[in-house]
Amino acid sequence: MQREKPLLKIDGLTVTFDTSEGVVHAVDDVSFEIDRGEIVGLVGESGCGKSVTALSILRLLPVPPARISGRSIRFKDRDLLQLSEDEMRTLRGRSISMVFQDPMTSLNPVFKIGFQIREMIQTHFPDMDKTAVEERAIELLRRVRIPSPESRMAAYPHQLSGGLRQRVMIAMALACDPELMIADEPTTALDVTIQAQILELVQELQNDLGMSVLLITHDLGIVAQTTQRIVVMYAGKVVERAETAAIFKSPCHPYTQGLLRSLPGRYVEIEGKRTLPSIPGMVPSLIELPRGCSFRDRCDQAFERCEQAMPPLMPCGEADHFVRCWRYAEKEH
Amino acid sequence: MESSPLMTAEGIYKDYPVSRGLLGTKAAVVHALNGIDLEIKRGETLGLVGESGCGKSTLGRILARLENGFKGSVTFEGADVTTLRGETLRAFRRKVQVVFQDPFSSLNPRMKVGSIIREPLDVHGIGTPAERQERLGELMNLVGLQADHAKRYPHEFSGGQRQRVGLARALALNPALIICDEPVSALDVSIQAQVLNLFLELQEKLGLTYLFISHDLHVVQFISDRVAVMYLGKIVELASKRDLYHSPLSPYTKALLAASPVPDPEKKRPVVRLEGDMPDPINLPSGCLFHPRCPFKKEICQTSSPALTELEPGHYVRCFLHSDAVETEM
Ligand SMILES: Nc1ncnc2c1ncn2[C@@H]1O[C@H](COP(=O)(O)OP(=O)(O)OP(=O)(O)O)[C@@H](O)[C@H]1O
Ligand SMILES: Nc1ncnc2c1ncn2[C@@H]1O[C@H](COP(=O)(O)OP(=O)(O)OP(=O)(O)O)[C@@H](O)[C@H]1O
Ligand SMILES: [Mg+2]
Ligand SMILES: [Mg+2]
Repeated sequence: MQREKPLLKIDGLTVTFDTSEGVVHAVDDVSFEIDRGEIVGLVGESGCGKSVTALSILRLLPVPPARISGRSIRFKDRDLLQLSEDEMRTLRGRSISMVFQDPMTSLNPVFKIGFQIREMIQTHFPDMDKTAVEERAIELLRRVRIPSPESRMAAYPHQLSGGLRQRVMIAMALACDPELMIADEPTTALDVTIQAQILELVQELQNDLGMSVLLITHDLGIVAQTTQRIVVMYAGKVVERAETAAIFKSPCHPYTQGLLRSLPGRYVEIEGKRTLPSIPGMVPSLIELPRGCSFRDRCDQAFERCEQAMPPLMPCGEADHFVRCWRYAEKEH
Repeated sequence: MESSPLMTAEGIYKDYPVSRGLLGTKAAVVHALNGIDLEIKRGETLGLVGESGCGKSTLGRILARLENGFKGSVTFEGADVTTLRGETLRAFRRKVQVVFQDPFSSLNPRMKVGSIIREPLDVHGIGTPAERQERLGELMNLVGLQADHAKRYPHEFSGGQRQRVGLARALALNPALIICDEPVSALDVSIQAQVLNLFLELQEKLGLTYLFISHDLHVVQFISDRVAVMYLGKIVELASKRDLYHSPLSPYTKALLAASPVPDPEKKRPVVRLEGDMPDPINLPSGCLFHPRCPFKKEICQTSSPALTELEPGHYVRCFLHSDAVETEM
């Protein structure tokens, strides 16, 4: 069966930052795809390059200090890396929207949130009349479960709790029925009941409108229940990529395995002392990456070859399951 | 023997006006806290959970004396915190630290991260410059930041890295109480695990007390000794961790526990779910604040407000369903 062309195809994305301390290799040769109507989870250790990847898709990184290269970022039939700034601007918010990890990237502290949502709608639907815009804005707030939306329209961002602010951003990202929503930790400030409702809303839009989502989160519970496929990053690189069920059933990369062991629900209590299993050690500095596999210092399964060279992504287990780990190399030949 | 509590809050109420419209339309009022009584015992970790917007951060800020204009009283080591001045206030600021919820706006964007973490030591004039620098190294290492990070600005950090900066800063002065507002929400599980283990270790070593605000029930279960559940600015249940997770009494706590996502793609999201209107601090319901969404509500719940009552030793609940011993609150 011929697979439909992916909605988004990132090919070899590489991002560096120039700093006084040296060049930070934040994202290195990252490739993955998102199909139409699919939710893809992007997970990985804090600082591994998830947000930078997301911001590069929308070309929102300040250049310099950032430098973006890569073969292409294809969205439908266009290469986002080649578009003019004007073309990007019409795309942002309309075809591809984003929920930022930092709320203040999308919310301006000096304007009331009602004004900001109306602006967002008006920019992309200039023909809509005032009352329709107002109604849509209130409806959006209601959809993300904000109580008394009419009153809340008059609030400034700092007058909202962390979770309310996050829901306002989600409402803004949904304002123009985007084809792709990039959501960077969209529910970190939400409690479980609202989180469940928001994720249901996202799935509803996925089903009804065929919206695709790139969901960045460190919450494996959310990933398990919401996504179809998962991309795992470590120190700027994709280290594993597979269908969600496969990752949870048979994680291949030692880092992914470690992640699944560190879930807070799985702590052990030995003689009254609680500890959570964690992956010992720290991510290497992204300025001077060691030779070989960047996870090897923390890996309990490392061997000689891991010191010599960075492994490429190679197939493991089932179809469409890829891992960047030398332990799977023998099985190839 | 009960040791005296480190911090006590009694009858805390806090309202915020929200400006409404242009031409003097009636102002709405957010009733953020609606009568909070709480004790934090020396050396314990008290978890505080509850729905988004229920007032957790507001309470945290009031306890840390970062917010004025509230009703009720807060005492720390026996002294009313609103009366602290000069040296006693400085001592309070040293002993009570806050890790703020939003790692993005809580760090000064114009300061390098090393100076941000060292600032409390500089302000309180602790140690020689060389000692402070050494302590900075220790603190950064403790929270898993690298030495080359010290010279960077906050915007050059990822969300989780910024959260660790806030944590290192809070630890700098060896405080007695740390009010942690969602301190690990931006961290992936493996670093979260490291940081949570660190919290426990420090507590053991330094006898720290924590108020741990989080909406992640797994995290709270791991870290806490006792857990308080908040709903619309009130404590609705308070119990030892064991009792709260194994035999919750409030229908709200039960619903919260049932909605927690399970990291297993085979299990679909649980169906137990809270119906009805979202809790709205602008339009507080009558009677028990939870009754509009409560699947078990009785008539009395719609008209009277239940008092927080100790039904079993150390297990408090604000709900009419369990016992006639639960009284109506004035
Ligand atoms: N402007 C910048 N200058 C220098 N380094 C940067 C800059 N922005 C990001 N970085 C570095 O790039 C790396 C990737 O950052 P990114 O924000 O993508 O991480 P992340 O995976 O989103 O982490 P988190 O889960 O903590 O949000 C980090 O190590 C960060 O310190
Ligand atoms: N400065 C302010 N002005 C107006 N309203 C405010 C202000 N600060 C908080 N509020 C409101 O008070 C209520 C409680 O907010 P708070 O931040 O304490 O909630 P929270 O429990 O911490 O929620 P979250 O889990 O989303 O962070 C919210 O409705 C919020 O919008
Ligand atoms: Mg990020
Ligand atoms: Mg809060």
